[in-house]
Amino acid sequence: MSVRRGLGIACSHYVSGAANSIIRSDMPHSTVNIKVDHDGGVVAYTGASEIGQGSDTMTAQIIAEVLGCGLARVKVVAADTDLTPIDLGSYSSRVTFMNGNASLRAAEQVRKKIAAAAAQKLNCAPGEVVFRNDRVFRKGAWEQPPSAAPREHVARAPSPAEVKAQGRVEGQILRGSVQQKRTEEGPKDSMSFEEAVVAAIDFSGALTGTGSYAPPEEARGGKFKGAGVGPSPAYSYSAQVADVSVDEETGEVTVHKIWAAHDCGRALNPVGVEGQVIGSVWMGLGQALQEEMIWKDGLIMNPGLLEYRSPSMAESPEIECMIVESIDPEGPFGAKEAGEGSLAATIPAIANAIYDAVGVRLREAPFTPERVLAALRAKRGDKKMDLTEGVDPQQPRRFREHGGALRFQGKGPARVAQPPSAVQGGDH
Amino acid sequence: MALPEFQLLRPRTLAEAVELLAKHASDAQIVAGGTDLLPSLRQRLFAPQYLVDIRGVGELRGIRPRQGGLEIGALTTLTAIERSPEIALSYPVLREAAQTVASPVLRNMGTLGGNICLDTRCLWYNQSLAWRRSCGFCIKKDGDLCHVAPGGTKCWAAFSGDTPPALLCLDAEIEIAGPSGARRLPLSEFYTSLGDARMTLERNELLTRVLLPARTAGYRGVYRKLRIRGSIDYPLAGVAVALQRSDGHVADARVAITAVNPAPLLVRAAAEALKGREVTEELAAQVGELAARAAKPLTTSALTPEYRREMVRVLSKRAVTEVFRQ
Repeated sequence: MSVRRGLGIACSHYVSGAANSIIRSDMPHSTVNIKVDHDGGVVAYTGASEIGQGSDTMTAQIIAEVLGCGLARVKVVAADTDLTPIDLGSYSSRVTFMNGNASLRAAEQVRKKIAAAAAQKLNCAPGEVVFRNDRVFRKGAWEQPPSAAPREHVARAPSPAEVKAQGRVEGQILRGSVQQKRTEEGPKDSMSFEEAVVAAIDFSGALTGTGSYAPPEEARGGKFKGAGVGPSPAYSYSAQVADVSVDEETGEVTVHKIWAAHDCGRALNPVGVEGQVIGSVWMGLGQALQEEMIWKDGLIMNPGLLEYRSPSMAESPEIECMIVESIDPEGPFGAKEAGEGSLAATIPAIANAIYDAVGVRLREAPFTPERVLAALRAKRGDKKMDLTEGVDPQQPRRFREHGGALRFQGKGPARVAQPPSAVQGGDH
Repeated sequence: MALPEFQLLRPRTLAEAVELLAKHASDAQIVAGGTDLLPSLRQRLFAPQYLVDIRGVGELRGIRPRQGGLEIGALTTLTAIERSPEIALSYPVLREAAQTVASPVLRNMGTLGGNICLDTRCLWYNQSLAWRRSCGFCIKKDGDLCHVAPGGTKCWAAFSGDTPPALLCLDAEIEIAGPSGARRLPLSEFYTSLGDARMTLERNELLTRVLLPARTAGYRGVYRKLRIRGSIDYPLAGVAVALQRSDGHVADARVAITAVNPAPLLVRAAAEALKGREVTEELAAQVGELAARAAKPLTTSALTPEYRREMVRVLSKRAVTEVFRQ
């Protein structure tokens, strides 16, 4: 059977959010509020919408990292307009970059307040206070734990053993701190996160912080034509290789494997990045092979998921994800986007693989079997397949109302909507 | 889209079901697995006053040996057919076809009878009431024009069941119960080739059993289905081939196609061409040609008609070659 195999490579880049707000205002793109309670609990209020991409986790991770506290301390209240500040939303692969920066700034504000109070207890300058492992140290007093030195940027919750060693359970914290205040007189080398928090609350009343982010002026494109839409404070890069086979008789394309390398800046959450890359590739696969909205005289012909065919498990190839880290100077801890960046390279990678396999260039997506077959026939000089009203799928020259496949030719019958007299039941 | 209001009737015996159907013939519809009917009810393609839920009629369920062949109750699920060792052994083409229907979850609910009586499908028909109203109602439902063949008066909605072509290849018969008792007819005489009146089943009748004859037991067979989405799709074209071999030649063969006409069709010319011959590349190509000639795909479904017809040719050619070499 005439099945040929091919490899294709393609690269793409993508924005980490748009530098210019879509609502044309000077309002910050993201704002995050943090409130720290007496018991050392940190609550973050963010407008960012968790749509499964891990936005809540990202917010909690960044705050925990800045405050040197365990991830379990951070509670995220997200996307509740009664409670949370405005965020432009989960689109344009902007949340980690914009909201992450706002979280970072809010956490830094809180940290500054805690540091000011802790400095007095530790008898040092605020700038010498170090936040690590759920504790607050005077600089120099903190020693690297003997084993398993945590990666600098990864916040870690204290293990149960550590909590036990500290001799406290939650609830005793406040009383403990008060007793401590009375009994301990001299300066200390370090204190627990809760003690530091209580010190800051004693000092300033309430412990809160606010951070906002808007891309810097120089990233906004100035007065260049088209600068309103294109620019971003940071761009991600993606390179992919697709391994496909093409059935020359049916035009069916099977994707066997995709290798996807993605430069997301610093990977704040590598498992999350991998999931996002795999999801992007899968979405690109749909655009490359199956998904197409078909219109006829203003009516969408495939309005349901039965006829609008997203790829299913059966079509999903193995996807090998490679995270390429770089440190972006503007991103939170050097992070860029990992939202949609990997989507764009999938489509040309598959197109190139088809070309490698059977030598036809398709310039119209999706590469449905009929388009592939029509192109193959044109190449072989076989009987032409009139599937696109004489339009060569390799060189589409004009816009067609209902996407690529002109299955609905001509004007069709006159549309006289009849009174639905014969219709029983209501229109629901 | 919400379901329209209806009254659910749940007979426990065949006699009770027949009686209910006789009583409410004009306002009743039968529901078994419901996988095809319920979405259509939501789209207001039907608005019956009564739904006769026959799932409680136990005698319509199950696979039993009968005169060297098999008898399959209309309520037998497609999953049960897929898993039946008797069918895998004696009628592999039916197993293959059943395996490709929709998805595993739907096959757990969907029945063989339902697949045989499946409503014909069309992009201009399987749409919501609001959609159809804005487009203009068609012959098949509420209107008097055809969007697929403008100017025509015939409905071309495509029959989109997977198992009927396999059953046609096996010379299956069906039994129908009605007020005047049971009648039996070959499946090939059940369909009408009219998209809006697809089968010869009266409104007060009920498909009860499918009978597979001893004659075709042991025929090798395959079913090939054109689909875009691997996990769940109606066929955009389908080809079933069953044949018996003796001494390196085809003793008897059947080729049937589906989803490209308002009814599943036996390609009789292909059967004649195969009989008594060895399947070579040329003969397989010839069978493909004959099958493609019998196919009349129109813009009722996704992909272009021309491509679907071409796939009938390719799939038939491949299926015949494959079965012969098995």
